[in-house]
Amino acid sequence: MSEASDQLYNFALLDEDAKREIRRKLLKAVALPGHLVPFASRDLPIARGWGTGGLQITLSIVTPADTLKVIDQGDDESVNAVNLRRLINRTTGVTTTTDTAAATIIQTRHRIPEEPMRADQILVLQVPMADPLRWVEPNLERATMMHSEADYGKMWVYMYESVVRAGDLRIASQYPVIVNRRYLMDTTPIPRWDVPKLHMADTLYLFGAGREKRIYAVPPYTIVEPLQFEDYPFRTEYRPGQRCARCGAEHTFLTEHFVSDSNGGRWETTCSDAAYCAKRVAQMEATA
Amino acid sequence: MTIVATPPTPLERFNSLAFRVLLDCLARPGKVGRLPPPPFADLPPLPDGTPPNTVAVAAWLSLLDQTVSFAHAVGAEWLPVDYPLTRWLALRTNARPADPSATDFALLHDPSGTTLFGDLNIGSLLEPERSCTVFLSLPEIVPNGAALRLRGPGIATTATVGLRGVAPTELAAIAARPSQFPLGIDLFLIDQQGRCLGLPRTTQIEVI
Amino acid sequence: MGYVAVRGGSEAVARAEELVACLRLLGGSTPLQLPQIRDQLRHAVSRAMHEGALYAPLLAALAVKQAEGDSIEAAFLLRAYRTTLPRAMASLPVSGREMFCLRRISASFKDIPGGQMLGPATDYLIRLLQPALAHEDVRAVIAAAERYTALVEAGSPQPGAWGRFPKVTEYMRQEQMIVNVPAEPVREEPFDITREPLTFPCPRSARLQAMTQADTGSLMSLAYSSTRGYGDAHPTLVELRYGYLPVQVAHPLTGEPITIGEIEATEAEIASKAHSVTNHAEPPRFNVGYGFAFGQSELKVMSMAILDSVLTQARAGSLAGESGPAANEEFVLLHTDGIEASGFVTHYKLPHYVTFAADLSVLDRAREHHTQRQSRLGQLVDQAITSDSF
Ligand SMILES: [Zn+2]
Repeated sequence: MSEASDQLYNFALLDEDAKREIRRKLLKAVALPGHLVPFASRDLPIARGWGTGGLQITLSIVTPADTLKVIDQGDDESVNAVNLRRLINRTTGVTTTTDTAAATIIQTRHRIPEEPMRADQILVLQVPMADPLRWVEPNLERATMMHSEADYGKMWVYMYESVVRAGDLRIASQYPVIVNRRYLMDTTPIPRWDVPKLHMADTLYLFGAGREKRIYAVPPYTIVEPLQFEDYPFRTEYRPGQRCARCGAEHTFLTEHFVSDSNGGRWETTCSDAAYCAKRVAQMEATA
Repeated sequence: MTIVATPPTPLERFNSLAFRVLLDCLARPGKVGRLPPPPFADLPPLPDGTPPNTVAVAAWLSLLDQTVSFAHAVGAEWLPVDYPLTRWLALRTNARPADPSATDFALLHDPSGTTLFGDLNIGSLLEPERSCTVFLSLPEIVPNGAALRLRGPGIATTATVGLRGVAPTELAAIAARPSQFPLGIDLFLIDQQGRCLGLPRTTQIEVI
Repeated sequence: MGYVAVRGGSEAVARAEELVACLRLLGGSTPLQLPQIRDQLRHAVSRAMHEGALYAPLLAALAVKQAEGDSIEAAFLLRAYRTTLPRAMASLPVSGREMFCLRRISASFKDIPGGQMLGPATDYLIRLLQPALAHEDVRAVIAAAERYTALVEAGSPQPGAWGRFPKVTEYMRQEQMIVNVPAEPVREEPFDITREPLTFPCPRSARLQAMTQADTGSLMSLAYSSTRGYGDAHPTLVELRYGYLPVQVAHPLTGEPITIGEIEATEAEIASKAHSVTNHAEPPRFNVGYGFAFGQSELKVMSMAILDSVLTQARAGSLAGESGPAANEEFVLLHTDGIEASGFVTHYKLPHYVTFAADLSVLDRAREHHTQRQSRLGQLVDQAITSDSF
């Protein structure tokens, strides 16, 4: 523990009024699944677009009793995850972990962990672009009107055009979904692989877009349906026969990366959820 | 790693712990949460001389500051701006006492306040989040009891909960609270022991 | 290997921080002292303050030093510090009329009440590099002090009265040449975008606050675009003043106004083209735009004033012809904040390999679709050829 003179900041950095505002907005977000709730969004010592929305949620909900995990691209050791974890830890002193099962709060960018999350855990997602309507209506005033009337016709036309042009729903990540049969919601840049995990989940999902100043939520056991057509159903990235080169998992989201070796190196496909992959490898080694 | 922040004060600690209970309860209607012990006592009394439900008041106050407005009621009557407890609440939070139709946060000190639901703001289609958040104090919440059956987001199939000391008409008023999704009020029921039940506007409620 | 897949990201982040700290001093020159930056890099300090939205010259000098002169980074450092400060109270409204002017000019009238005062201005300097500055030493400081005293004496200001001037807009308002301040819903305090979400349509106080902390270059580009042809701005500078402005608050107990200090600030008001709303009962007048910033920040306040008037006219529906991006309030306010824009643009440096893998999967399917379509097309062509008898 340091000297009192080093303790310049409030617990969890944000002042109590800022936390209270975010807490109020989180409750409304939970009561309105998928609806974008505007919030003031304070300036933070990390840059806008680098996770300030998720960070403000985490800082508003964290208590000294929590155990925190921070991932970026599914990886705890990604430089940005390291940086956010360092900031949260230095301003709260909470315990951190890389084990999904051991965490009470997980803050994430671009992934939902492979290991199923439980009812006593909260997943906080960092969101770059909050409104899925921006592709068809960048003006917020008009987009808000469209949400208020559940007027999503333009979005369906956009999706249809992508099918005609590309033979598939062209949106790779940030796949739009309808939540609780009412609001069109941006899933943040999680891959399609993670989208079904939002549907009727055990866990509460909280979404924070700092630069766009919006908070939204998907409560547990809530209907989350990806936009799709009868003849062009929603499909994840899954390819039959896919396999992690490290742990052998056949049902995970994989990314490619280059591995150097004595022959100059090769491309390898492994789980993007690094902690999950490592856990599987450790289990295999223990039983071997 | 050097910690550069002060530990939370007892009040801040209560506020953050209480929030997690409120958030969990609102996300999982039917789940009965337990609020931490209130960080203060000796509230000014209600008009009949009895003390208010301190833990309900504390949980409600944890969300109030100078940017929001409030109203509170005993029986089926809203308490006036100059009532000692109203002034205590305003002084403690800097929140503004306001007309029930415009208030952000309402506290109903007993179940007969359910008759006042109709006075409250349900938000607008453009800003459904501007609706009132209501805290209702009651004698006892019984987990898995048989007063209300709940369905909707946050509930895997259905949930049931018991409420003691709540008249059948009051139960009916809770079931029929203003909620035409996405509009409606969001409700927290809090008993004398600090048990907490969240009923967001998404929950379909049926009196058993 | 990439900077994500490498285990030990914590280590890399710590080392990067140390490297930055080293590089600033590796050249071996004497470390800069904060008063040097505050006094000699005045405009860098002003810019850090107005874009960082915090009036604190010495802290701004520190930010400029720590950011190694990068204006957006310096403003970001100040913003991140400001956000940790409690908002004690709101000051009483300050009028530019109370400014102790070092400079005030008008482009709309040759002579104005109180007179034009050029003051410290670079406008008419011939932009030649001054090699003598490379060899300045302490003698230059003494010479500057002497020269300044002589200049002030030569100006022979009236004791007591000098520095404070009536405002040109007051005269124009009296003469009904310009519109009255647009009616706003009554609020106890102005809108504060750090406390309330900026949603649209927004009150003018929110617009002005957003612009006064916006990036100078971004405001300049948009204001320029509207005057150049992608818009309907026709500004005339009514008045620009730069000087010291006293700030007052109400005493928390007595309510009496108390001066708590003064700030160095620049203010601009521009008049723009006749306010020609046809369904308006009042006779046409000029519209007014307002700009304000800490320090001597003339480009910023003029850009802001031009945009303010364009946005007011856009709301009133009195723009003619092409309105252009500068007339779109959301577009202007959401894209000119330097901290937000720079944060998002640079966030593409963050790893995106999950989304890129998802993109690759979509690309694969699009290619399959393309191949299938091509082969179907090929079959159709083949059929057409074989069934055709030339
Ligand atoms: Zn693996």
